[in-house]
Amino acid sequence: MIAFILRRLFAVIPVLLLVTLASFLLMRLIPGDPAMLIADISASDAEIEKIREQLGLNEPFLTQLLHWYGNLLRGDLGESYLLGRSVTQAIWERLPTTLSLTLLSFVLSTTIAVTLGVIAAVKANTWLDQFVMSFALIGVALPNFWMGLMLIILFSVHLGWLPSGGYVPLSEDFWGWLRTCTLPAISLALLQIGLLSRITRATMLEVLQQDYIRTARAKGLSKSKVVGKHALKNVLVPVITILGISFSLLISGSLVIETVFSLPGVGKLLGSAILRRDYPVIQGGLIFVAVSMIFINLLVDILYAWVDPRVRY
Amino acid sequence: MASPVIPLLEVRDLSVHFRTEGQKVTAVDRISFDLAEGEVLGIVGESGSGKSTVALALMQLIATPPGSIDAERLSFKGKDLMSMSDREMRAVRGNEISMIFQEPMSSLNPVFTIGNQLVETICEHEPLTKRQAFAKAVDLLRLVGIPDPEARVTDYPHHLSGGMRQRVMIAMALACAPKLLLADEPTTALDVTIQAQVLELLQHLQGELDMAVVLITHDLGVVAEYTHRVVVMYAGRIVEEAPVADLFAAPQHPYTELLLKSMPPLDEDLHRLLAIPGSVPSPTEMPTGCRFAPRCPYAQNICRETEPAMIRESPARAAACWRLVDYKVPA
Ligand SMILES: Nc1ncnc2c1ncn2[C@@H]1O[C@H](COP(=O)(O)OP(=O)(O)OP(=O)(O)O)[C@@H](O)[C@H]1O
Ligand SMILES: [Mg+2]
Repeated sequence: MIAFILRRLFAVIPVLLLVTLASFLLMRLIPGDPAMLIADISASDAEIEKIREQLGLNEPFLTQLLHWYGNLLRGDLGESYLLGRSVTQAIWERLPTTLSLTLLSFVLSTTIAVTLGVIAAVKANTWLDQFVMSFALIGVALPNFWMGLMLIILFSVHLGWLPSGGYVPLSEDFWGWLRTCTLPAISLALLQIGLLSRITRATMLEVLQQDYIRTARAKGLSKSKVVGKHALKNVLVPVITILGISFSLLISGSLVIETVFSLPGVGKLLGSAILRRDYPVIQGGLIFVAVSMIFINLLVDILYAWVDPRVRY
Repeated sequence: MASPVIPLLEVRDLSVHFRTEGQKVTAVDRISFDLAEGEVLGIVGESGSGKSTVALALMQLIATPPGSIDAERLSFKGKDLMSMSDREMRAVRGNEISMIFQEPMSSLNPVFTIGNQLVETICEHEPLTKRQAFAKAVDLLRLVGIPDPEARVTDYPHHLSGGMRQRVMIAMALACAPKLLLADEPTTALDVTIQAQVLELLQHLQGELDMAVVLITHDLGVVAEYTHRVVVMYAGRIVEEAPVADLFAAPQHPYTELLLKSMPPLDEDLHRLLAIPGSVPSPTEMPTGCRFAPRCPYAQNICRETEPAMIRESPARAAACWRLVDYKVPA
């Protein structure tokens, strides 16, 4: 298993190189001169030249590239044009918010979706199945920012139960954290619940037809053991492969939801950086998103090998 | 041959229907037979004759819907299986009545170890600790002739060959020393050499544990070698029932006769039935009279019009054919 994990880690290296190379090239492809963007409108040619010198833009391409990788290895993603701090620091400060949101909605969506999918499959073709699946369809059909707005109107404006925005760090106050994260996490989770519960239901229906399920029943096991043990673990095998994609969707969804709920997360940072053409931040944000997706998929692979003994490692 | 006072298993007029897309299909139609303790009964018949369905009905494992079971009587050790609650039936399954399936490759759960699946069965029915059950699992694997059972017990099913998997299935079925074992074509999916080994093992364990066995098979060679009594099924009906020697010496039903004729010579590997001309009627288009009439070389008009009843010649011998009636009551 350890060897398998190490092998997978090594396999990640070329992907990381490609992603970072792409984001480096992206900066070179942007029309216009970064130095002009940073400089005041009234800046003289000499001043712009000085900025260009500072940014290393006058160096040969290869030197710039090596320089970029050197900085990257030290965790240096450059300076924000507008925030007056390093990109790494800006992302680092906002990371807990984004992680809170995505992890909470990941846990929510996975547990709820698997439970709903299993119930729907076990009660297939009854009113309960239809009810659960219509609910899932709503989650898929409606965009999550709209769901977010509706939740705000219902729970914040009308009922006043939960705040409509803002963020309380987990380290300060657990309940405050949970209150601020709940609505955004739910609006983000709904789509996942819709997708995952349908996949869980379909997989469960298929698994319940398998010979080993008949064997489990022939042994005299109760229905809850047959479904909860024998069927569920087999259902989780394909569901886990989807969790990687699911988490990637959560991360991209969080970019929008953070803006809807004014959560100071990486998504909001990236959103305003795009609006204000803060290229180093955009670049850093892209690398952050790409790297987290790579590592999540790595985790999923490991989890998959752990659950399914037939996977060779 | 003294027949016991109360048979271990009594089946009277068992029928199993399936309702699919508005059509009602009768997979098993009013069949009756008894089974004594320690007896080995063969059920033979072509594919689709309802053999597996009978076994699943005895286990009460027919999915309802689409299936439904009717029976005048379905009693095991004098208790009626049809009226048992789900909980009572679960205490019987895997404990007093066990089943081995046709498909060893897919009948074990791929994501749990052999040991886990064995221990689970043992713990379900016996008051043992996990550790004791585990030790018993290893013993069971040894009993069914799996080499190095201490190592195999932590294997997953995909580590084992088909023959070994079927041995594990047998170990699992025998875990709680059942009174009745339903073996549904336990060797059809295996290599010929392995087939004999597995059947020898079953025979050995049957004697050792004094179980009754229902051995379902396509293979008359297997029937001859391993069973005491045979029931021949055709299109959901029992057409003949006889002690094994009698069946081979003097089959009474034309279907049995043709089955015996189509048996390949013993020195050939090909144990499967050679084809009898024609095919089994589809369950949706059953002939009105005798179901075998369309393929029967002796068929008369009466055969096509009215279904013959089982004619019982002696307690252990019966067949459903108009020819028997003719012999008894010459026209
Ligand atoms: N779940 C089901 N739904 C609908 N029809 C079924 C179902 N199970 C069995 N049948 C029908 O019942 C009939 C008997 O099937 P069964 O599997 O008992 O035959 P078999 O004698 O065991 O055949 P084989 O030798 O191929 O195993 C077949 O016509 C089959 O189509
Ligand atoms: Mg069968």
